[in-house]
Amino acid sequence: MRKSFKTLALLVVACVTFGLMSGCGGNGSNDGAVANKSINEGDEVQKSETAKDDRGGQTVPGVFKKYDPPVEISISTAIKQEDFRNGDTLENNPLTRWMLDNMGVKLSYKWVLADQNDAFNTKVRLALASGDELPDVMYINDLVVMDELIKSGKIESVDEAYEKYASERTKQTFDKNAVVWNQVTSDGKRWGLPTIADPVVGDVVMWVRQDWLDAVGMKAPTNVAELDAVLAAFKKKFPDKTPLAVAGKSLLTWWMGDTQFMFGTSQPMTWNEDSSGKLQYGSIQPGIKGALTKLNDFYNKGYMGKEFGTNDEMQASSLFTSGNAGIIFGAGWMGGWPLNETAKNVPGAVVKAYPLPSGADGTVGRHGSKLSYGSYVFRKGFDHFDAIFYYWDTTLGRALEDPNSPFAAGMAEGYDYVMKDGKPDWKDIPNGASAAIQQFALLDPGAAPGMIEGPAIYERVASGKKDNIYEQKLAENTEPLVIEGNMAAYSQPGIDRTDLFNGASTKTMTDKWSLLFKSETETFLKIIYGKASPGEFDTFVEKWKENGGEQITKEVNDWYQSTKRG
Amino acid sequence: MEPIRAKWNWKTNWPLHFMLLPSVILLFIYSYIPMFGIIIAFENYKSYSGFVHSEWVGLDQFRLLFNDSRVTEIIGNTLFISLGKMVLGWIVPLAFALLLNEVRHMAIKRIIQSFVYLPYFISWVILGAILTDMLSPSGIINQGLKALHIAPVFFLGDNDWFRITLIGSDVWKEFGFGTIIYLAALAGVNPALYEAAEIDGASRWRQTWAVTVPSILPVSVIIATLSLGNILNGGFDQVYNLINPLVSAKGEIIDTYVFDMGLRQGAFSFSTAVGLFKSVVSVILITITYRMAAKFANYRIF
Repeated sequence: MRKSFKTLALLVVACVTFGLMSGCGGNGSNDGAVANKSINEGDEVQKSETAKDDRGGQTVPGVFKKYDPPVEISISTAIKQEDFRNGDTLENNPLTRWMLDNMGVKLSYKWVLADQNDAFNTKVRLALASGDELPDVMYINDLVVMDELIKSGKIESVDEAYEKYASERTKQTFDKNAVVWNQVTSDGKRWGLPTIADPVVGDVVMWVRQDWLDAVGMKAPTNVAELDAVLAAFKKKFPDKTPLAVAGKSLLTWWMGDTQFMFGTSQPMTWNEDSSGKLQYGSIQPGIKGALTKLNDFYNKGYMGKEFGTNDEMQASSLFTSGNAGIIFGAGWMGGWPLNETAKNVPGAVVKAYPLPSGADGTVGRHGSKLSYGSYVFRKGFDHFDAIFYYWDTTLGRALEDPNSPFAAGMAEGYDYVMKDGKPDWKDIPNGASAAIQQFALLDPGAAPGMIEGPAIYERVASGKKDNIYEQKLAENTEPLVIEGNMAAYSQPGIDRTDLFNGASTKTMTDKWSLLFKSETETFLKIIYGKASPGEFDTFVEKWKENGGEQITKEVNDWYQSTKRG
Repeated sequence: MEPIRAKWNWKTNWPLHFMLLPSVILLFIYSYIPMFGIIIAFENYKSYSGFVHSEWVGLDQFRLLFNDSRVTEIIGNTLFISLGKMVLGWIVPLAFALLLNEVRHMAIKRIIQSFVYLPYFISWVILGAILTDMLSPSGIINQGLKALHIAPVFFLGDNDWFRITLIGSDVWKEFGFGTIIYLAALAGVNPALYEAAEIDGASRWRQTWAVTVPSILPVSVIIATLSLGNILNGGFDQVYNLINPLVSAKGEIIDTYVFDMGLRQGAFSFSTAVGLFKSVVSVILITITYRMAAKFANYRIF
């Protein structure tokens, strides 16, 4: 008896301990979901003096010569999705073969990790703490890690190499988007090569059920009063549905089901310059109050559904795709996913993208996309910068719609395109088209905003143009609803209030931001729900400043000043 | 009655020790060596300076934890939620196991047991979405309330209801597991005791009180003791998946706050300080309750 009891006791201990252990496995946050790398954009490449060689890349004339014998550059990766074909491997695939054949560069992997639980950042931090050697080239998308790397003194400044090797068009692209340098600038030096994000792909547009709009005999709203009228008509016509799908669980201004249009030019949750050129936090500006009041009005009228505050982005969008909502605000790419489900789920449903209506104060505005999704940094002592800038220029050619780029048709044959009768084809690819290979490119400069004159590629393709290979590719491999969504975003240039704070968390931010941000989202949502009066906003602003906000604003501006060179 | 301690014979028993060795080494490498990392709770840790060269700040990180009234609120929330879960999570499975033990039809007993055990295996990520839908103002629960002419309740959007919902759903998810432990304990009760009680003319109710409850009391005491170590864990997975800005004032717990601070803001030292604080509190509580258990229920593990 006594003995069997002891066994049982041990079992209990084991069970409970196991239960505790399994209980503390955290689940990673999903906030990286918007990190789609932007794709090509642009028109004729600006003519430059730079020489062009037969491999299609440019560099300062005569500087880059193919390495013979080949040199090795070590990199690292956190694999999101593996899709190698035809016996390819991580170190031997179309991308690596192109580099070996044309540049005499052999890629080797120092770290291969799985992209989960922040593994890559942890690896970098461990290497820094233990003094391990870093890979030659790393892609860093976390600004805090970037800051730690800069301060570690273990990465090389790119200033000298940039002057020496960067091609003319590379420099022009960076000059036109100089603000991206801020995230890698410290002590007047630049410590990495930032990618440049497409400023419009990812911007929010208004998605409307056109069949609902037709049913109530109205036009797409262009201002808040018209939107009010349309939502009211939806409410009347479809009393058991939700006119406007909103995700209030995490933020009111995010990628799907957001409300940023309502705030017009005073966008919350971003840092923007005021008239004196200082950065100010958007959420405490006076314009916010009116927008919240109007959203409260929308809520009271029953447009948003009582449970919107507990809905996350997925739940809000599924409200729309299941045919239960009439309008949802979200990125242009939502046309491809998840909104393409709508027509499948609901017979007769027609989804259309429209430009944003003006907000509560009559102005039109939105967050804008991120400036950059990350930067490439180079190990201290790395000395093949000529190859780096050569490859950077070659891949940048895609963003510039360079017809001579070796990657014009795609990054890797058999993955994102195949050749058929001497012509590229983007549809009939064995095992389907896959962009997964792109994540293994040594460098991917992103987009080149401002470099191409005239209408953006989405607008050109939407109007039926298929002249160059880039237009043909976009028309072939992109869902029409995505093109429509991005076109709607492009139709409103200059309304972005892009977040200009792209540095690491400041000292006070690290300590206080978490709580400040909580009080912000709480106050906003309570005002919309009518659980707090709009006057509560003023109290929030006061407390925000008092509880560290003022100090943070100062630190953010100190940082902003420090990024200015010369 | 003192247990008789047999003299340990190294000569014959060394293989046993040898077999234990790998686990001891692993335990040492993965559990004891990393403990030196606690040092970063007293530093302003930066990866590039390492453990040794990071700036020493003493108790600053702990001050950050206790000086902010909003953090104290979060600690209060955690205590409320975890105490609720602990007490109900102790009573409910116990009561349920006693009731289930009275079911004489084995098939029905097993079916019920399996059904209540099922939610234990579902991740909070999935349950979170299901509960958000079911408990929403237009969800199935509120439609049921409406049919009974009860005013709808916004379970996940109302500060008072949110914590109750957290506790209730946690107990619902976990009690099947506790029930199994108690049922195992009940199965170990010597049938001779019941027979003796029956001969003495005890009713079923009387048997339960005089035989069943005392028999499983030690097990329930251990479970309570061990669960006390969790007093500062409100259940990260659950809260993280259900919380929203409407209820963050009453629903935010230490773990979700630390998650934000550590992973989003990179405040490693602060997160470690909180972890250390939690561990110290847990060790103290477990020690106290263990001694109490030893005294009142005469139960010892060591």
